[in-house]
Amino acid sequence: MSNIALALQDQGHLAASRAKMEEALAVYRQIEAEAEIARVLENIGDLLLIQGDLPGAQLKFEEALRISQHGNDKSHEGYALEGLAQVFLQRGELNDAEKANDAALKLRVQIGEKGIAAESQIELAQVRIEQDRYSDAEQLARQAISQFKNEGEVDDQGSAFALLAKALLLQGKTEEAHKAVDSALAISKKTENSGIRFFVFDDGGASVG
Amino acid sequence: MFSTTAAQVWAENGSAATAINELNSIIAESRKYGYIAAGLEARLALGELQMKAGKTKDGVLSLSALQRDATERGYKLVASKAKAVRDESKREDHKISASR
Repeated sequence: MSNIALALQDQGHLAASRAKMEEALAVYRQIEAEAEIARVLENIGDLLLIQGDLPGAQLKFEEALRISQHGNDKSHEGYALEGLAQVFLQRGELNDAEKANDAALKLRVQIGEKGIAAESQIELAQVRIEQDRYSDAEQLARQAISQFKNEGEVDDQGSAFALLAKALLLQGKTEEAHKAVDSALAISKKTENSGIRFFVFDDGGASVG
Repeated sequence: MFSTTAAQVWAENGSAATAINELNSIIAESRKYGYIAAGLEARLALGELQMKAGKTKDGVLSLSALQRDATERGYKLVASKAKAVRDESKREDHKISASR
């Protein structure tokens, strides 16, 4: 049920996706499947972030964090921390965002989740951009791209190239930013995930080099 | 969302009008499908570009509306950036008026 919800989200059907996630959550709560409850709460949190509901997202991530910590589930704990970091970032609470991302990154490295750790690097890069530390953001984005390539994570590579482009642009490296955007756009054409593809221009305007 | 970044890169490449059109398209799509966070980001990029392109009145209107909407939703980072860009423009206008 929750896989259907994620597929719906990838296709851009956010309301239908949310309804399926809530159904899945109710079932998992009934059978007290804690790891699954945490996972679905994180998925709902992500969806609420997309839909602009920061307080709602925070509640979901906090509950997921409590459950994961209670069950000593480091993997889901990392996801919940990453979600909270995004909430803090959007609120402009940069120190809290940095702390939550650092904690998620440490956990993920500790349990050997290299690909997922790269997600934390991307989140940290976003914080670095807001701290006007563009060069650090560039470095983190490049490290993450390399890791995502190794792991074959296409969607994540697209997001990472986009962030790299932003970091480069803010340093005045316009040519390199063009190349990074081209890479992101090329990747977006390969993916089924509308979260990546959704806003990609299809009028040929992608050619900026 | 990375097409917002793409538009910003195009604008730096001298294609500000194209970038503004594309950002308007992103904003419309984000409203239609409920991608609120991406829409806020695109609106900020649009306001910045309008200011840079000399469309100050449009930019001020866009950024003021964005600041209000982002604040209501708790997106303080976007709200503060919108305010900063708008205030910067006011300061520039003041300098120009004073030098006349």
